[in-house]
Amino acid sequence: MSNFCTITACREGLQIASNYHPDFVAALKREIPSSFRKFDGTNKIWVISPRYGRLVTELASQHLGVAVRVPQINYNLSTITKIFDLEYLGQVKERDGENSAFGYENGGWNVVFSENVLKNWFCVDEQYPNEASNLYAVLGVSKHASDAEVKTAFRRMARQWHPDVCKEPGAVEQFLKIKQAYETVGDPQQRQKYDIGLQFASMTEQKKEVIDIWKPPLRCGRIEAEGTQEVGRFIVSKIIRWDDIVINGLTYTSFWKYGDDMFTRRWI
Amino acid sequence: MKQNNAIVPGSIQSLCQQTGASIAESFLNADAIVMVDTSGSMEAHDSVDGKSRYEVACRELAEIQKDNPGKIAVVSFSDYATFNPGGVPNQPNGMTAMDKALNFVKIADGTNIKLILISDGMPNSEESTLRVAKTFKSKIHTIYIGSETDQLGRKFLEKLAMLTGGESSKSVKPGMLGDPMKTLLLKG
Repeated sequence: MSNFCTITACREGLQIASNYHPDFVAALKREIPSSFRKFDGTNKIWVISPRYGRLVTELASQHLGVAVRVPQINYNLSTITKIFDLEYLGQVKERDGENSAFGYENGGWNVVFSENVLKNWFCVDEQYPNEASNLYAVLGVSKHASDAEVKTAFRRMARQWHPDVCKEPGAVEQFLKIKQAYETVGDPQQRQKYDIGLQFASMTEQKKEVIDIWKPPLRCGRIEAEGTQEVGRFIVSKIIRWDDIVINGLTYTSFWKYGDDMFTRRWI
Repeated sequence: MKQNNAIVPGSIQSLCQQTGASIAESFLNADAIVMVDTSGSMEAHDSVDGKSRYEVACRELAEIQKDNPGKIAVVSFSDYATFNPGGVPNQPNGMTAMDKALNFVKIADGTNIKLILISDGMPNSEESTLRVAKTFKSKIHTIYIGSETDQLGRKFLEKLAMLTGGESSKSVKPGMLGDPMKTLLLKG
């Protein structure tokens, strides 16, 4: 059977249809970051960002021995602001040399957050690398948050991780951490002392602790964010707001129980 | 100035190791910050047992921390100030930048954490030190551990303490830092 490859424009970018060739597929995966490609298993086609059109022609020539043209396509890579309901935020994983997490929204894993964007939002302060679980980071608030903001954050975290609701591995431990964090940061006198300790700790010359895998403290919410739309995914560059999803007085939460194929949705 | 990373029992760092808590969380138990002069003059061997002022200060501080686990935060100062979570001040070296020590602990000003300064002599700049001290709401208590004959150093520490409403003591002789420290720690 001879090789073939066609590239056509589609709503989400460029569609690539070809016969299966392991070297070609491996090269696609190697050269195009996962955020900018996805495989449509039903139609057996790849959808890629138009920015990689020329690359695909080179790969097709190299591995399939086929000359293929990239159609002219107008695509808008400008930054947009979007509000969406994030039903579940997956784990941060290393992909193509960068750490990122996929989010489930509108029926699919259609949102991508880089670890930096998430850490920035949850105030993981790199100034305090010795503090593996900085209490502010446990609550997902800035060191400068007001008492009211701290209280709101505590309630949100507690709702997310309460063992009665959340069946994720480590939920009990995480819930205890959140409670302990609030006992300190929620009390003005304790918080003041804790801040002194943080300041002193940041100035020691001790070996900086390296945290291998950071886990975002929240799994879901109504998010307003800036980003770009590529291959049908919203790639978030900045989170503007993160609120609860509340409908008819009930708050949405979700968790992924170990061994399940999919996350579980709960309204509380 | 190299930070001393040694750890003594009862220090904040030792509490971290025991409980698994972070330094900042362990700091919640601290009642006092002790600023220890580690300038070159602290190498003088004029204590009763022939030890240096520095060695005596380290020994006494270790005792106090053992008796008051997690309650004392140790800060060394000479040319600069550093925090020694392990409870052992840096090796003596350099000058006496007392104003830098006070600036270092300024973040604790106005809290219920006691501020205690231990020194054997005059600061690099008396004027600058007093200027910084004047800005403090908290009392700064001082303990003199130098020579019996050094009036200038002792008088300065008395002046510093008085400026902030703190107490000034001297160790009865080198080797008895513990008593004035304990008195200050026990006071409300």
